[in-house]
Amino acid sequence: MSHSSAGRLKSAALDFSDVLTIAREHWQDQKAEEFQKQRIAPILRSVETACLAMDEMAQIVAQMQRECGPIREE
Amino acid sequence: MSGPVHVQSIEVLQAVKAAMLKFQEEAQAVVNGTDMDLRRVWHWLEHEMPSYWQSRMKRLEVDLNEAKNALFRKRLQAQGTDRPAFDTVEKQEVKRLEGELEKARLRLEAIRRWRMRFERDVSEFNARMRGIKDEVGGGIERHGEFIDGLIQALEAYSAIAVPKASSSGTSAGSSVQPTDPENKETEK
Repeated sequence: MSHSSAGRLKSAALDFSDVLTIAREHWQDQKAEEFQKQRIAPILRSVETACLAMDEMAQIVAQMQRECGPIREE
Repeated sequence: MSGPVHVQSIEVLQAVKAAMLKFQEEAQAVVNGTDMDLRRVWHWLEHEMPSYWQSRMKRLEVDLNEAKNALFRKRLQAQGTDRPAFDTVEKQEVKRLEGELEKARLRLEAIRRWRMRFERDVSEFNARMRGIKDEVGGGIERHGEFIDGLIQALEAYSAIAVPKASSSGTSAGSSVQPTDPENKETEK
């Protein structure tokens, strides 16, 4: 478990979002609006929630490893 | 919902779908990797660390016993003589091992606490991951089918529109009004 998982997911979402932004310059109708609001927005929200969860879990795991793992001599 | 579809090319929709599928693939890999990481962490907490600290405690108990024997012998040697026991090193070793043993005991306690806490953390984590898991596990595929519906409708329309467009000199596909693919989707 690491912060890099969240980073990888965020990068994938950003790449997807870039393509959508370009596409929307050529696709500007009611269907596009609907597609954006009803289908893309929930994906991006789920990415945001997942990234936050993964970052928090990475911190939890790091703390757990410090408190339960072998003691590192300074 | 019905209404005109204004896209400058079918390729735009195809590009959106391709990007969406690429995202799905990447997101699926992240989700799978995360699940695997969590299983590894669970195993580490449930099995590896308890076993590590228990065996360390056993070893430390043996070492401490030996250190106490050494200290005892040193004191015995000095008994009945005028000289001091010179047992500083042995005493320090006993103290060090007692400290190590206490650390190991505290680690085992921490592991017991973390097992309970981590179960809750994982449960909460899984709830927060549900959205992205639903998307990669079928949601995105349905959005792709929605785009396929739009593409098919546009293709069907341009097959009709091209001859008319040729005669009027306009480009087919810049503003078309195909059959609503949503209706097809809801029929499924």
